[in-house]
Amino acid sequence: MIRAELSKLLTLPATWVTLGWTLVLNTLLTLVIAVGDAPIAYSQAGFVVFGALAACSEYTGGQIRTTLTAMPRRVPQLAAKHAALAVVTIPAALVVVLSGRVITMAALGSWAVPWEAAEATAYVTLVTALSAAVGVLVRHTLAAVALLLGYLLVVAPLIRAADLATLAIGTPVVLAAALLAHRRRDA
Amino acid sequence: MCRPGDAGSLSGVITIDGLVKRRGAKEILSGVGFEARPGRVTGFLGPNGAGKSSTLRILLGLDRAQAGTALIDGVPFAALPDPVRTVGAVLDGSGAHRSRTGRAHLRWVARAGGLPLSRVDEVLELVGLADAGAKRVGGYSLGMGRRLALATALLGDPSVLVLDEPINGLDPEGIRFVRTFLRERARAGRTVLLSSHLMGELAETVDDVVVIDHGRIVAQGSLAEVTGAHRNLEEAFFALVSR
Repeated sequence: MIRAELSKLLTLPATWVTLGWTLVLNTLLTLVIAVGDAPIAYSQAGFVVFGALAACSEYTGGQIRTTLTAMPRRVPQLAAKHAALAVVTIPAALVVVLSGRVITMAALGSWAVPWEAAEATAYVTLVTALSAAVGVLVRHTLAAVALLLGYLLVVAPLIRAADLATLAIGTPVVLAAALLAHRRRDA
Repeated sequence: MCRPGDAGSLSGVITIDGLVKRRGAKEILSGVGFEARPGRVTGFLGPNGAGKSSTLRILLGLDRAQAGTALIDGVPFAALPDPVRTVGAVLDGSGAHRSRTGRAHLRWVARAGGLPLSRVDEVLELVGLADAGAKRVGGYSLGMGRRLALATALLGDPSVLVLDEPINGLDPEGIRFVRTFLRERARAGRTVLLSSHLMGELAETVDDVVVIDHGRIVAQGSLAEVTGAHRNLEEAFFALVSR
């Protein structure tokens, strides 16, 4: 099932377009701001779009019906989708984060701490998982992206919750809700 | 699940019993029940909105019924040990994302069903899409989309085919192809259940007929039984569903 979901994700042109633009955006922001992981605060938007697309693309062309007739056990199916998403996201996030660091290093001549790079990668991976879970719940890419950006860029900084710990607790909760909704509702 | 010595329970029998489905205050299905057997093409007929698609969606585990059962070989769809090799489903549209190629779509379904990827080119050939496999689904015509849906359903060479309005949107050649193809499947001992609101197109294709109207089964039996004293299936149908 993970291979099927991975195959779906990798043959979706939007996957490559979104991740490619995210890398470009992050590089440009780093060149302008040139301070380590700060551009991630904005380029996480690319991962939000990626996660939401991965989930909501099921609802284009009636693909969800093909998915659920081929893999009718819904909880394992959605779990496989999230696992496949992580397999793609983690290396992509690492590339984006490290590219920012290499540019910073070249510009300022200082190596940032590897631990911070790992933290940024974990943050971006969780953001992607959260976005996919919200995508499953609302089943509409644009609505999911709007909700998530509103939360991540406006609400979370306001309530001082824009950190890895909040995300590490919140994402599994939203994911559990998505699994429950996916299992119970009519496709 | 499968009683030993009961060969019939392994052959692709569809048994639907007492299905009730409500959406909001509206009752869409009021105790729908019928059987579709191997070696026969069963036509599930009814006007638009009669409950055909809802019944098939419940059978395929896509929607939930408030009451009743829809079983394939005695088990609900979601409990089938090998769904892709047991049931092929053709619902409306292509069932594929428009930005994927036809071949890429079939490949992920083959992976999901644990099928060899060589099946992909076989089914593309079978439905006449061999040249369009590398093309994105978004560039397909309506008829090509329907053929891709059929190819997807055939990947696992299943013992049961469930088709919702399979000839909708097809050109005369496509209709002929589907008819001939479904007859061949039934002759090979497979179960074919198809829904339609086009009576005239179906009389030559089906062995058994189930007629649904306003969420209730109003007639079922062999083609001859349901046609009865009427001139043809179409006349019988309008006599059954008019009020």
